[in-house]
Amino acid sequence: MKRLRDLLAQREFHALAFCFGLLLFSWPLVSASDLDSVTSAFIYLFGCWTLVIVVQFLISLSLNATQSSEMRDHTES
Amino acid sequence: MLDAVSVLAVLVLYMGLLFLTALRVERRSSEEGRPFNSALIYSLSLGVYCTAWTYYGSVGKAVTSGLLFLPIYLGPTIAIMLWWTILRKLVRIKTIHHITSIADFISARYDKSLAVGALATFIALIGTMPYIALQFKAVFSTFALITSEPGAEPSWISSHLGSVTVSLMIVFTIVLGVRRVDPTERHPGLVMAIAVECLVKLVAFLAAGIFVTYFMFDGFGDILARVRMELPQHILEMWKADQVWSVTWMTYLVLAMSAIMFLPRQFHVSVVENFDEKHIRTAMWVFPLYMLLINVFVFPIAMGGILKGHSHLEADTFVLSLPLQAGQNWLSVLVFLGGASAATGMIMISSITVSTMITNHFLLPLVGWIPWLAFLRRRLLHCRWAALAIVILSGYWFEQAVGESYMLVNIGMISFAAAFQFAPAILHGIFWRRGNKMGALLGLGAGFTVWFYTLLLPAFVRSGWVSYALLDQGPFGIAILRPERLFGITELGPLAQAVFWSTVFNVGFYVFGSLVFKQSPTERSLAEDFVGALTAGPDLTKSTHRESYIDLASKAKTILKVFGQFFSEEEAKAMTTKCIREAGVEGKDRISITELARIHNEVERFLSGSVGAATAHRWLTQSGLFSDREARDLSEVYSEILAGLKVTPEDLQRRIDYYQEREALLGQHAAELEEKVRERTRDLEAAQEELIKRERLSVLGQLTGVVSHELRNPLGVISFSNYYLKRNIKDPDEKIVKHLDRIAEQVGHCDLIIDELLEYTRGTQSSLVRGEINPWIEQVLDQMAIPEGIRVHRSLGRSLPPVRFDGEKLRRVVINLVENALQAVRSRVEAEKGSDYRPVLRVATSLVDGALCIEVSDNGMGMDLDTASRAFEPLFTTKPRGTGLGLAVVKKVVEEHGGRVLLSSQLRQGTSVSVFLSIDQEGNDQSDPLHGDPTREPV
Repeated sequence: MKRLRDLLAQREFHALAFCFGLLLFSWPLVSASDLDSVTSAFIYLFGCWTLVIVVQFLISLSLNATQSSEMRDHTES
Repeated sequence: MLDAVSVLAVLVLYMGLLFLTALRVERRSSEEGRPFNSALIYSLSLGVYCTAWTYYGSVGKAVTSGLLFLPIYLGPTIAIMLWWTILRKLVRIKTIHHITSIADFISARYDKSLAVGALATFIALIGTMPYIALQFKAVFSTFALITSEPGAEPSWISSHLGSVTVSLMIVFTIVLGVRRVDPTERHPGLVMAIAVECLVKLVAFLAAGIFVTYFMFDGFGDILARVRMELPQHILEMWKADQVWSVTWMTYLVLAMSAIMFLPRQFHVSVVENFDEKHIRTAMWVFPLYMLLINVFVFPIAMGGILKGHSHLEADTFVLSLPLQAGQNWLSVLVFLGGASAATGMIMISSITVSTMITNHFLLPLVGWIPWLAFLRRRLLHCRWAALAIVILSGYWFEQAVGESYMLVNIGMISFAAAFQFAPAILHGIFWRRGNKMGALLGLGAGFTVWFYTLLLPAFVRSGWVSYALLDQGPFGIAILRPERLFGITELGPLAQAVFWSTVFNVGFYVFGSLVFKQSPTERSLAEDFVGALTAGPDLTKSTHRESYIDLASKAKTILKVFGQFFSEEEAKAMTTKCIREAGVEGKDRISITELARIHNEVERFLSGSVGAATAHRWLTQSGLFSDREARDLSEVYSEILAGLKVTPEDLQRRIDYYQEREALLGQHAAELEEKVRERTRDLEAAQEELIKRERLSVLGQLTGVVSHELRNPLGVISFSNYYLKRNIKDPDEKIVKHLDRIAEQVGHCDLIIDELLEYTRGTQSSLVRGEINPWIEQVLDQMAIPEGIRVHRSLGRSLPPVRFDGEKLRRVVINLVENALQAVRSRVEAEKGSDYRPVLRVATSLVDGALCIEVSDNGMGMDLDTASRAFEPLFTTKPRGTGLGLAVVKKVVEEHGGRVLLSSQLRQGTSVSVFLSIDQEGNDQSDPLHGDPTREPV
C-alpha cells in the first residue's frame, strides 16, 4: 500500500498520467465524426473521464498522506 | 413566460444574498487574520472557467459539432495532472513575490520589466473585453427569452436591463473585490461568492439535464437510441462538414489545457486567490469532477432539443428553453440564475484582474514618466475603480455594438488562443533559467501579432468590418500571407493553423531572444528564484551574526516616503509599521543588514501587491533604501549564502569554482602576508635587540674605557707607592707588611676587573693559532694558584686533534671557569663547615661528537635554575664582589672561536661548564660542534 502511495505521489507518475490521459482522449476520436462512433465515443469518453478523476483522487490522497508523514517525520526528528 | 419584474427581483435577491455571504466571509477573514476559505470553496471557485459561453454554448456546440464541446473540459482534466508541480510552483512564486495578476507574474519573472508587463496587460485586455461582452449577451438574451413572448416588444425592464446589470456589476465588484488596495490581492468574500455561483450553476444545469433526460425522455439510453434512429440528416451532414475534426479536437484540447491556468481570470482564481498550497490537492479531483458533472447532460440536452424538433439555430438556449416550454417556470428561473452566475462570475473576476493590470502596468508607469500625473499615485484606489468601470462598460458597449457579429460568437476560442500566448513565457520562465526579458518580449510580441493576424483579423472580416479580399487574396494580393492560410497551410483549418503559427513564432522568438541576449544579474537572480521556487532556499533570516549599525528610524522615514507616493499619510504610516513588524524588528533602534533586507522584502511585497512588481521594484530602487555601504554589506551576505542557492550544475560549479578560487587566493595571499609580517617582525626584533645590545655595549665600552683610564693611573701610583714603601721601610712589623700585601692584592683585583671590563666591552681581534690543547691547558693550570685543601683533578683526553685557538683569550676562559669553580667550592666549604665535604675541581678535555670539549666542573654550591639560566648575562652576579662579567666573557670568547658553551648545574651538587671548540681537520673546519648531541642541553 505504501508503495502505491509513494508511486502516486511522485511527480514523474503525474507526468506519466498526463501523457496517458492525453492518449486516452486523442486516438479513438479520429473516427468519431459519424453517428455510430459518437454514441460509443460518448460512453468511452465519460468512462475514461471518470477513470482519470479516480486516479486524480488517489493522487490527492497519496499527496495528503505523503505530506502528513513527512511532516510527522520532520516533527519527530 | 415569466414576469420580468419577478425575474429581476429574483436576480437582485440572489445577488444580494451573494453579497451578504461575501461580506460575512470578508468580516470573518478580517477577524481571524487569514482568509476564511476551505479547499472545497477554492475548488468550486475554479468553476469560473465555465462561463455563460460554456453554460449555454456547450449545448449549441454539441448540436453543431457533436462531441467537439468536450475537449474544452477534457484538456483541463488532463492538465490538472501536473498541477502539483506547475500550479503549486506558480502559487509559491506568487506568495514569495506578492504577484497580483498574470501580467505581474510575467513582468516579475523577466527582470520586473515594465514593457513585458504592459505587453501582457495589452494581450489580456484585448482577449478579455469581447469575452465580457459575450457574458452580457448571454444574460440579456436569456432574460429576454424567459420574460418575453417570441416576436413581442421587449418590456421596459428588458430594455433597461443592460444599464441596470452593468451598474450592479460595477458596484458589486468594487465592493467585493476592489473596496481597498489590498497588498495581498486576495478577496475571500469574492471567492466565496464565486464558489456559491459555481455551485448554483452546477445545480441548475444538473437540474435542467435531469429534467430533460428523465422527464422529457426515458434516460440516456432512450436519447442515444433515438438519436441513432431519428437524428435529422442535416445535423449529421453538419458534423461531417468539418473535414479536420481530429485536428480541431486536438487544438481545443491543447488550448483548453493552457486556458485553465493562463486565462487571466483562471490565473487570478487559481494562483492569486490561493492562500494554501494544500488546497490544490483537493482541487485536483474536485474540479475535474465538477467539470464532468456539468457536462454529463450537455449531449442529452442538445440531442433532446433536436429530437423535440427545435432548430439547431436555437441550440445555444436549449438548456433554458426546454424547461421553459415544458412549463417548468421555477426550473427556468433556476437555470437563468445559473447562467447569470456563470456570466457575472466571469465578469467580476476578469474585470478585477484586468483593472489591476491596467493600473499597475499602464497607468503607474505612465505616472512615473509624466510628472503632472503624479497626483494619481495617491488616488490608486479610485484609479482602479475607474479602470474596473471602464473594463465593464467597454464590454457592455462592445456587446451593444457588435452583439450579433461572428467575432463575438467565436470569441471563446479566440480568447483561449490569446491566453495560450502566455504559456511559453510562463512555462519557460518557471523551468528554464536562461529565458530572459528580451526573449519574453519578442516571443509575446510575435505570438500576439500572429494571433491578431490569423484569428482576430479574420473575425473582423467575417463581422463585416474589413474587406473579404484580405481573406481571399491576402494583403496587397499576396496569397501566401492570407490570414487563414498563412504560408500556404490549408489542411489545418483557421483555428488550428493560427494556434500552430502563433506557437511557432512565440516559442521561436522566445528561445532566439533568450539565447542571443544576456540576462542582467537581477534577472538571473529572479530566474533562480522562479525556477527553484519549490526547493528550499537559503534562509536569510538566520543570518543574525551581522552587526546592528543601521538606524531604523531613518529607514522608516524612507519607507514612509515610498508608501506616501501611493497612499494617504495614515495608510502609509500603517503600512510602514506593518512592514517593520513583519520583518521582526519592531522596537529596535538599530538593525543589521539582514534585517534591513527583510524590511526591504516586506516593503516590496506590500507595494507589489498594490502597484505590481515592476513599479514596486522601480520605486524602491529609486528610494535609496540601501546606502552604498549597506548595499556592499548585503552583497557580502549574499556571497556567503551563494553556495546554498539552487542553480544548474554548470552554473553552481562555475560559481563554486569562482568563490573557492577567490577564497583560496585570498587565503594564500593572507597566509603569505602573515608569514612575511612575522618574518619581518622577527628580523626587526632581532635587529632591535642587537642594536640595543650594541648600543649598550658601545656606551659601556666608552664608559669602561674612560673609567679604566682614570682608574689605572691612580692604581699605578698606589701600586708603585706600595712597592716603594715595602722596600724602604726598615724593620717593618708584621702588621704593616700584612696591610701592604693587602693593598697590593686589592690593586691586583682592581686591575683584573678593569681587564674583564675591557675584554668584554671592547674586545680585540682574536689571533687563532693551530695547536694542541692539552699541553696548553696543563700550562695554564700550573700557573694558577690553587688554595690548599682543594683538589684539582685533571682528566685530559688522549690523542686529541689540534684546534685553532687564541691562547691569551682562551686562557682567560679557563681561568674564569676555574676561579668560578674555586669560588663555588669555597662557598660550600663555608656553608658546610664541620661536615666531611671535600672540595674537588675537575678539568677535562675530550672529543665529543667531532668537537673538542674542555669541561670544568666542581662539586661546589651549584646554582638554582633561575641563576643558571641567567649565568651568561653580562653584569649578572651572585657574588658580593663579583663583576658579573666572568661567564659573559667566557661566552663571548668561545663564540669568537666559533664554539659553544654549555652549563649544567644543580644546587649543592655542583656545576659543570663545557666549552666546545670545532676541530680543525683541514685547517678550516668550522662545523657546529653541538650538532648531533642530544644528550646535552643548554641551560
